[in-house]
Amino acid sequence: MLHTVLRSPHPTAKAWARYAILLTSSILLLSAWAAPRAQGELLVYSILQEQDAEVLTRLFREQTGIDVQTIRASGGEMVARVMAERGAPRADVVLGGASNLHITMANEGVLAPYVSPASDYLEGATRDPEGYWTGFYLTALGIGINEERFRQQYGDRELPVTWEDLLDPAFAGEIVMTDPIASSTAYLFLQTQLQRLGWDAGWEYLEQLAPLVGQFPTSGSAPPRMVGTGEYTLGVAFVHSLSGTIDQGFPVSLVVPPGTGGEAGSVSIIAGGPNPENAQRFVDFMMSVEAQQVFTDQSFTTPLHPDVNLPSAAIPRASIDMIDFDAALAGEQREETLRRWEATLD
Amino acid sequence: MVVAALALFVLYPLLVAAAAPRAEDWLRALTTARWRVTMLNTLQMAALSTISSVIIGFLYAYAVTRARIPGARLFMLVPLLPLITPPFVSGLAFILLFGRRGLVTYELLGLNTDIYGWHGLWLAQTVSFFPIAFLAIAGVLRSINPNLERASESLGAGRWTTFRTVVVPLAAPGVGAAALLVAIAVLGDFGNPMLIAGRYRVLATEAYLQISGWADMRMGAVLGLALLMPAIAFFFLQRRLQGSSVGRFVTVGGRGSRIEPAPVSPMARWGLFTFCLLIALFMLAKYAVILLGAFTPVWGVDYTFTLDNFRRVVVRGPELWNSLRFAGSAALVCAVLATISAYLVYRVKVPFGRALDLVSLLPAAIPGTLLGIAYVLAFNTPPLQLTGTATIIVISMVFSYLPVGYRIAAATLHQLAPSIEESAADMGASSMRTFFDVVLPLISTSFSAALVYCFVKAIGTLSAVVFLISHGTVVASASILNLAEQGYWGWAAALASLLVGIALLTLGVAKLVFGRRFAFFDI
Repeated sequence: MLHTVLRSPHPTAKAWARYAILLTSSILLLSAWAAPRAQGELLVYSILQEQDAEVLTRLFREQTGIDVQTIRASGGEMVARVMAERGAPRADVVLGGASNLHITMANEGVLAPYVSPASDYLEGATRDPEGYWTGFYLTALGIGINEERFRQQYGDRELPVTWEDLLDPAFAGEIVMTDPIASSTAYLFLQTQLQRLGWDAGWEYLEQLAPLVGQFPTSGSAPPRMVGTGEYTLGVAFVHSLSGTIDQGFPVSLVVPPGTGGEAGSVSIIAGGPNPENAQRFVDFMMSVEAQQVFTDQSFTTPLHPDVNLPSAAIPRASIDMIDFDAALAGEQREETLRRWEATLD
Repeated sequence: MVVAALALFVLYPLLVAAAAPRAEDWLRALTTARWRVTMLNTLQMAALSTISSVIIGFLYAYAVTRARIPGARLFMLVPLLPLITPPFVSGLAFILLFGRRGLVTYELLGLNTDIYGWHGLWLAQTVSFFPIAFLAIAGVLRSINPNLERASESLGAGRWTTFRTVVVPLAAPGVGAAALLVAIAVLGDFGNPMLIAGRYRVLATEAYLQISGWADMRMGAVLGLALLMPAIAFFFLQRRLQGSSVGRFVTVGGRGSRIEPAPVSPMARWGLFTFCLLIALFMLAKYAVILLGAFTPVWGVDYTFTLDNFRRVVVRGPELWNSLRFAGSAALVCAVLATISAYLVYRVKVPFGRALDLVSLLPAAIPGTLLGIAYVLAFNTPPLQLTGTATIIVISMVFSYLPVGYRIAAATLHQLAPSIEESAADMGASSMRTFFDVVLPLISTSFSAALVYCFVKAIGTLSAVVFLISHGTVVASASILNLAEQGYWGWAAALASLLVGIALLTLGVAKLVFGRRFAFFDI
């Protein structure tokens, strides 16, 4: 078409239009690639929900001037990704996800140890003594119930309050939980039942529950949302995630069954990542009261820093009846448990 | 150069993927109940969707090409929409329309239905892919000479008998070929099963889970290859049924005789009209609900009007911008390669022409899922370490849609008489000069068409890209899936609306600039 314009003595308006469009789009395309691409100074793999990670990276950028880029995936997917990139890691930090996931990665040798000087206030099982992972919030499992849908389906029946209450065959197709292979939330659920009831009785529980579940999405934030909009009646999810759904105005009731499982949501540094120093600064940042305050206000998780004010929608740690959860055991048993779970579904 | 590119980015990754699994991986795939069920499901879904797509496609094509229903030209445009918009838009739309809290099922009818599962997937796949059957069958029906039907009727056969004994047998091979095209598309689709299949598992999603959840590349490759085998078989069967593509374009564009086809009975005509109307409305409802969802804060709960979803997805990140520049670059490379390749096969008539023709079209048979896995396996280590870069995404788009561009370029070149070039040569022009002065102007329209189609296809592609995205290279289609999966329908719908809008705008501008010379080719 350029040809037509240049050769013909009287180029038509159409030929000019074609030429103009060709030229404009080529310039646009070239500028798209030439545009200064931000040099990623810190690359974060995030297991947190979109907005929860956003408030943290924004504050970090403001405080340090370091440019942060984030990719989100669910916990299981992230572990798989970090392991697959072993040898040529593309990210610096894994942000969020229960500690057992970080233990699994540490056991695989893909994490770098770092004991943050700012993490002195952490106690017990909320950090790794060798520094392979560091906790920054507490998280426990609960059941979200859409009361409107529950009343439509079951009339005046009482709301379920224990894990055992979920096993009623009347709930078939009305329960939603994530896929344990992809999601750390659901894996924590499997381990909670196995540790609470013991290995064999735990599997009996899971075998009874599996056929009642309507579907297994991969993202931990899907069940609260699906229960919130009334797609399903009952959802297994993190307490903070359900609190957030309630805070947004969805007609959801939150039940924290006695003997629930919980862990420290953690941050860890990937061994051999491109920006090791900034990764350490990020871990220090995550220990700060400012970071934990914005994170708690956004996510309704229970913070680990003692000076953070708890928002009213969040559930205080003291009101949750938790089992003595063994995160290290959960990390070790991951493959065995998930293989058996896969077989249970068929 | 073209040959080297095809060998490196089509054949080589496939060979790497084929070599990756060990014998025990194959054995495990065949003996594990989970994967046997998955394989059966995949075949069952392909069969179901193909049958329904071909039936709808045939009736629709018969109605607009033969039955002369009112508004036939408008009706022809509607099925083109799904061809230029990402397939997963169907899955998303049906959740919003007929989901457990769907606009129709719950808000209007108060039903307590469940769209998640094989039936929802079947619906989504049929609506996404029946246009492929429609276009192919419409081409076949148009090429049947109406004289034959007239002859049959003047010999005393009724309309039904004529349809049964003349039209159906003549169309059968073409219909068979159309069915195989649909089957290949359904086998490889990833977005719809991910969104709407619930607990129903198919190979494409299961292969993704093996890689994303287990980091088990070998098993991912096994499941991807299990998809490739039927797809390749269908591909070759389809080529047989349709004759080699080299001979095929003679009928395309040739309208045959100008005699109008014999009219069908008024009852059949109005029946077909109603049918087409329903299908067309259904298709339009699909896009309307996406647009509606894009302006709705929380689907199923809060239906007030909002612009917030658009604001969120635009400020959120670079994915839309990435989609534009990746697809733009890919379309450019794709159109160049396709044109050169078609020129070699149809004009220069290189000795290995048939092989080149085959390899240029072969990517159409490779399920996107497998292409993505194969690229990860083949380009993860030096000397060609490309994973994590934008380059690998662009390359995957180029070769995924090479067949689209190639078909368009081939169709145009085939219709040009070689005598034009010969006369240029006779008058003393060098072959370079002939190419630049004679051939290039002639193929510029086909080049532009290839460019436009590759762009609109690439901007919504998902199956292969989902394995290749990394920091800074997330594309809009992957984001839509991620958001929809988390239940953020509004954001997903807003992003999907923008993608659909860009595709329509691109086609509209192309049509405006190139006018009638820019035809809707079969893609």
